Amino acid sequence: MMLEIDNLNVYYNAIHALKGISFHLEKGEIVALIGANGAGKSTTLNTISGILRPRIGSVLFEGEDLTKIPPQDIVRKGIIQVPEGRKIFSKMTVAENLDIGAYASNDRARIKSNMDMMFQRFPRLSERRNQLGGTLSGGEQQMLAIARALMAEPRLLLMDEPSMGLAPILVEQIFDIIRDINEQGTSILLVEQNAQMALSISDRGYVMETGKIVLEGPSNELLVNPVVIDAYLGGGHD
Amino acid sequence: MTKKYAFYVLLIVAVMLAACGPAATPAPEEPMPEAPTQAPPEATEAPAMEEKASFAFELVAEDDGASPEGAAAVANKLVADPTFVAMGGHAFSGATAAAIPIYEAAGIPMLSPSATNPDLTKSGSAVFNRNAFTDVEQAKAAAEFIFNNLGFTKLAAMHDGGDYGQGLAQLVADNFTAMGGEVVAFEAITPGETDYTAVLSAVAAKSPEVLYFGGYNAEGAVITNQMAQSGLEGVVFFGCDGTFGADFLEKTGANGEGAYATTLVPASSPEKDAFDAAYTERFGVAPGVLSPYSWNAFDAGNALMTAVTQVAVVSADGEPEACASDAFGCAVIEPGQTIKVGYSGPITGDYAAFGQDMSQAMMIAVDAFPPIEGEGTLYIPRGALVTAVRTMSDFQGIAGTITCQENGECNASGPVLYVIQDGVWTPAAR
Amino acid sequence: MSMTKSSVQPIQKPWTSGRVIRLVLAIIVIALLLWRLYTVLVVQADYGPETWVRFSISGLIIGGMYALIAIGYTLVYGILFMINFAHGEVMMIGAFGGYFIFELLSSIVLSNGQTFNDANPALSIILAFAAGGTASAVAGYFLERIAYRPLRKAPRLILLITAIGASTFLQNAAMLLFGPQRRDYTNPEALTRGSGWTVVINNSNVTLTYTGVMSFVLSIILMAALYYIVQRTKLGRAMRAVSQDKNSAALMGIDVDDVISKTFIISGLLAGAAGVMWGIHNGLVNHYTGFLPGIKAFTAAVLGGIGNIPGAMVGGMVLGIVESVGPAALGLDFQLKDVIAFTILILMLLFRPSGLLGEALTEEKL
Repeated sequence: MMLEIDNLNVYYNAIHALKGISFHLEKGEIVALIGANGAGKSTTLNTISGILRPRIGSVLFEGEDLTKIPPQDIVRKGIIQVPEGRKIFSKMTVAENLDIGAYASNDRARIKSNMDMMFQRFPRLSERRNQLGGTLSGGEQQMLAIARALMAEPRLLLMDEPSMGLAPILVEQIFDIIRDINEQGTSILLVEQNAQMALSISDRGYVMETGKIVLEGPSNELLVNPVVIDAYLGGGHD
Repeated sequence: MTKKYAFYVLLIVAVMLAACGPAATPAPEEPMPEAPTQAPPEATEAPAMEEKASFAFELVAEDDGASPEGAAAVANKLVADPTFVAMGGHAFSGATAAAIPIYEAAGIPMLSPSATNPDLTKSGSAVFNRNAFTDVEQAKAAAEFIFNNLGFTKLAAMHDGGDYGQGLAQLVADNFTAMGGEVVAFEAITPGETDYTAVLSAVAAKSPEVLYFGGYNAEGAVITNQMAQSGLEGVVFFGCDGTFGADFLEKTGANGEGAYATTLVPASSPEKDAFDAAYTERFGVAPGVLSPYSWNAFDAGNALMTAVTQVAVVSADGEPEACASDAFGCAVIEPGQTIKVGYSGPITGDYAAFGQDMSQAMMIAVDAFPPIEGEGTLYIPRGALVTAVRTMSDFQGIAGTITCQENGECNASGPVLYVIQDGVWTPAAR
Repeated sequence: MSMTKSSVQPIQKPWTSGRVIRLVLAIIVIALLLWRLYTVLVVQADYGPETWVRFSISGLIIGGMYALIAIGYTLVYGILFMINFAHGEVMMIGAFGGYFIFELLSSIVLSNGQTFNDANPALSIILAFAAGGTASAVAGYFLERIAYRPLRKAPRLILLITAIGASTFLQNAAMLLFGPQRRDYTNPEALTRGSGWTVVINNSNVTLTYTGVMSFVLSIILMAALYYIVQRTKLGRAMRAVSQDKNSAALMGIDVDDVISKTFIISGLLAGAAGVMWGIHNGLVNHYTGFLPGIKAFTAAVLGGIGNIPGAMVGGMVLGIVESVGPAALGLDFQLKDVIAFTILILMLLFRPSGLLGEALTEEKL
């Protein structure tokens, strides 16, 4: 098992944000974590990345507990997050953003070849490589955020709401990219409010509600689960 | 993590303690082991026949930061102590002015070694006296010397903006104009800085022949050093008692050659040499280095304690007559207690060197002064002490004679003019 | 952080009363300045060109030192959003570092009777800068580790108060350790204070002091080096990333604490260099040496736009020039130079809170 979360309890001061969640991810999988705003999805990702610390529970990555390891060392183990809201460095150029993505590596030739690969994969970024990140459009910023994460050669990619704020056509494009990344061997933990899209590309899914996991199963089963349809796929949600 | 921080904290504390130990800072509360005059603790155990008490003097050095508000706080604190009898300060004119009314109300005589602003003795205070000479005499002597002896007619006056420096520069300028000279520039500097080339360039544009500076040696030395590069080559630097001293020599080196100062630093005498040796040995630095007032401060301390011994009464059977008739009553010193003499000046901050120097000089005076002996309790009539200081006559100190006039001006020796020749302060011929 | 705010510009600002008042104030200030300039330059014409050149030289030299210190304020502000008020004291520690090296080297007498200091001026100066820079860097490092890091999550006001406390602590610690008297820098003979190249302007000798030229050139070199580090190196990228978003930086594998430490070290190095320049050029150092330059450099940093590195450089130079030229140009007393400097600061905050080159000081940042 690549990632195993066991009885994770996280607090923001007095607020009990994660109330003992457990789930796992196998190597090569795409696992979707779906749920409404405030369900604790981003909290889960940030706890895996080491930005937040659990009060109780463990995060095992290939058998090693991450809950005492600082964030920068978790990155070095190959767990890379694409944060919610993209969080690209707006006052740095596109090329600098990609450089920062490969911060953990000192192999300059490899960084260079990876960057060339990214520019091949995302021609739009190549055109704008010397532009400041803040001047890019939303879709371009999302591509930059993904490319930046790929620069670190992730083994497990944590993606937080990659579709947020994007036009439907761009959402399609982003999800194609995600599938593509997975096919090249990277495991992905995908957090989404857009349950339809998330479940359609993932292998398995977990449904979160107010800090708990309330449902789990293969994605194709969740897609037809009446509860899921009612709450996340029905009216209103795009 | 916590352990780590604790370690750092301990480290810092250790460094601080190490620094405090042998440092030259005054620590008036600590008993002075080398002082021969400590109140003997065995007084109570001694046989009844020889029941003699010994009342030693103690220096209470306070930090007023050279500011009026700081001085008022110090004065209020000191007058609350019933064993506090006299003040050898304050150091700076502005601070002194703020403190005078507080001592006036409490009947504490003052004898300042360094507050030279002329206005201080014009307010009619009964308690304020000084053995510093006034800036009126100093300015007059300086202006006359510049005009008559040096023969200069174009003067630039500069000052540091303080009560002392500005007052002095203004007096010199006034005197100089009255004699027929021309004051071509009158500029102020910000004290504490080390680059005055801009203001000196502005002064240079007015082509003066001599530059008078009212202020202290730190700024005076900076100005002297930067005159040539600012277009004031060959212009004579003329300082005051604030710029006199070994420190000025050291800081100006060759640039100081030919610079003048007015001061009351005495020529060598056995008493002065003994003081110099004692000061140097105890504080690791020669008097006159930290401030030019070392000798004056020593004299002020001795003069005050002499006045105390003149009026003090030791009595074993209750309050003496002198106390009842005294307007301020008596300071009552029980056996085992000390007679507190104060000093107040800037002991921290930018002018810390001044305050520390004077308090150190006074510490030497206080520790060497013989205690008052007698049977019973010591009574010091405060009003009588105020009068004793004000009427002091012919007290021979190492820096000159102290004879107080009715307004509290006690310096009877007047300023001496010095010029730097071959790197040494040399008395200048009038 | 204001990430996207700058791209959203209102097309037409409403005419609020505040704006009108500011406009009127601006007109009054400008009219006043022009009138004073006219009086001084045309009517009185007290100063010849040689005097103005002297003013400018003084200003550039001190401006370079201000700029180096100001960069420290701006770097730390950029990364922690705090004003490190103890930074002036960090500079003072560097000044003492250089002082003790010069004392040591001038006490070594070589076989030909010269002191080591005089015989090897270049080496002595390099050693002094190395010692001063190191002393300040170490001071900056421990300042952050001991005083600021435990408060990383505390409200900013607490950090500010801590910084002021640290400033007082360092000042008094230096007084206890080194004594209160001002100490004279023993420059190598080749760098004797006051000596220099002479240029004749308007039949008057204008001196370009060796110490001043060295300080100015070195401060330019150091600023260029810093700019290179920040813009072109991995550490520089990490510093910028941390200043923009600490969490995201950590997600990129950047050790945020380490970068913050290094920022304090770099700030310290620059301040230490400024301290040694201060000593070499101005001559005297004591425990209070850092206080005024620290406040001035803070002013310079705000003037240029706090958080903005080129802004700190420009702000330092502008402040230096304003201080030396300003009083004469406006026909004011030279003691008012600080008043002029701080007035400019207030006007800047009033009319252009972002500083000369900076981004807006949003409430979020303060």
